[in-house]
Amino acid sequence: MGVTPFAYTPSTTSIQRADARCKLFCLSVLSIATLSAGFIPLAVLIALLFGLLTLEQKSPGRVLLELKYFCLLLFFVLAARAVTTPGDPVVVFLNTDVTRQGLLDGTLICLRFFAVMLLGMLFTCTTRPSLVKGAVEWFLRPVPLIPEKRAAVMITLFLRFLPLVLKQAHEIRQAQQARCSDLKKNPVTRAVNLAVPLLKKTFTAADRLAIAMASRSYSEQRTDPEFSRSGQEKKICCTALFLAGLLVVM
Amino acid sequence: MGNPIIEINHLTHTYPGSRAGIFHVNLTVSRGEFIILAGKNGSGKTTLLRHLNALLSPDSGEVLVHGKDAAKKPTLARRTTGMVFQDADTQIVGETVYDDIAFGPENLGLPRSDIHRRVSAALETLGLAGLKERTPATLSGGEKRRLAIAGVIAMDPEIIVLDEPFSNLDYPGVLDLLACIEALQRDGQTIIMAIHDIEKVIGLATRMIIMDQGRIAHDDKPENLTETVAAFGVRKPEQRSLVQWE
Repeated sequence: MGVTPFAYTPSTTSIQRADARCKLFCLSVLSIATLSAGFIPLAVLIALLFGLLTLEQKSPGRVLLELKYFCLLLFFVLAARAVTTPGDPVVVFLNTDVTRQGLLDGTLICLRFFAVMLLGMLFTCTTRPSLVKGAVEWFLRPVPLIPEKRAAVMITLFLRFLPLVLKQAHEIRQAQQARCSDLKKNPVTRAVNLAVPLLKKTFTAADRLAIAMASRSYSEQRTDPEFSRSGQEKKICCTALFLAGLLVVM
Repeated sequence: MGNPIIEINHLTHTYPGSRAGIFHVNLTVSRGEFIILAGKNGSGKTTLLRHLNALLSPDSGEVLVHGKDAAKKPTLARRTTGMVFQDADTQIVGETVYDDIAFGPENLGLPRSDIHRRVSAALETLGLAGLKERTPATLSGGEKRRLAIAGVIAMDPEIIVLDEPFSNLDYPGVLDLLACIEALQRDGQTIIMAIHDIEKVIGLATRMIIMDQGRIAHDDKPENLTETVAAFGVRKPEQRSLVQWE
């Protein structure tokens, strides 16, 4: 089973050594700022993020390859936007106008999504998963009615078990293909044939996980995470706030 | 043999709508023992092991851990007995090797310095120090099994229970795991192992319990039972131990 593109990759960069709470704060601020950013600031931000990811041993080519399905999704978003936004037609495709305004809007939305995805990748690949969990727990602590420790463990388990569920889905699909399941053309039948054994396996695995966690004395009165500080946190937060300001103003 | 760590008295556990379960089991486990729990599928091995860890509650009878009822003191039972499950993938919780080993000590609410010390010691003992930042998904089957054991060792249990630890392992994985188990036994760790293929560890064991239809059929030194095991659906060992054979 492979490693997800967002997996933690140890290194000694300043971002890597910074406090996870500071990184989560910067991620939130910059993600919100991208929602109102224009083309040029977004392009600059994406270039900057590619540079920072390169320092974390993730070259632009590798990042794009790892995000190929996400890019495909963005292409559909762009296409949908291009044909549904009214404006000046650029080209007519299957009796549908592809408008200039639609293409511009679609591209802008895709760039925003892409920038947020790169920000998320930079955060998770530079932060130990236990500290991601700890930072989420720390920020949720003042929020009433949310059991922050339980929420943090759920995030960890999701990150840990998503690849396992995907692997099981792949194995089930291959086992069914070996018995000529692809001869069935009805997509609903195929989906049901995949979903039933997958759900059964997932629930069984969840049951085993709950027993294994109980056997290791799982409780919500756990030791709090220990955040390490590099001393650069103020600089990093100020830089992120300055960048966020530029994204909004420009 | 010193004072028993665990005493099981007339333990019975049944499953609704099934003939499986365990019936009137009596057993004591003392410090330093290496117990093989043998028997065919459905003979009650896993059910018995889960009672040691207070993961199941008895229908009748009791499991005493240092004289205290495990069902009433599950945390004591789980601190005393560390359990390694058959499927390592569903036991590993952490996103890195280090985080997974730290999961148990964190649950015990230990100070961070103690957690670090215990995790470092477990990494060294199980030969995982070079892999501490690795994602568990990228480990081999043998490494995952060693990680599952390290996660239990970090909780510093008096007894380690291993449920079919060699299942789905390739030959190097088996040898790798055997070396770890042998090292644990040399350090005086009390071990209980449920296993089909007793040949792998019979040379290490000090005691063998054969289970059949939810009852203890035999409880003796391994060398006294080698001729008997085949009658209970367990393959007769051809050599004393894979460790010694290697």
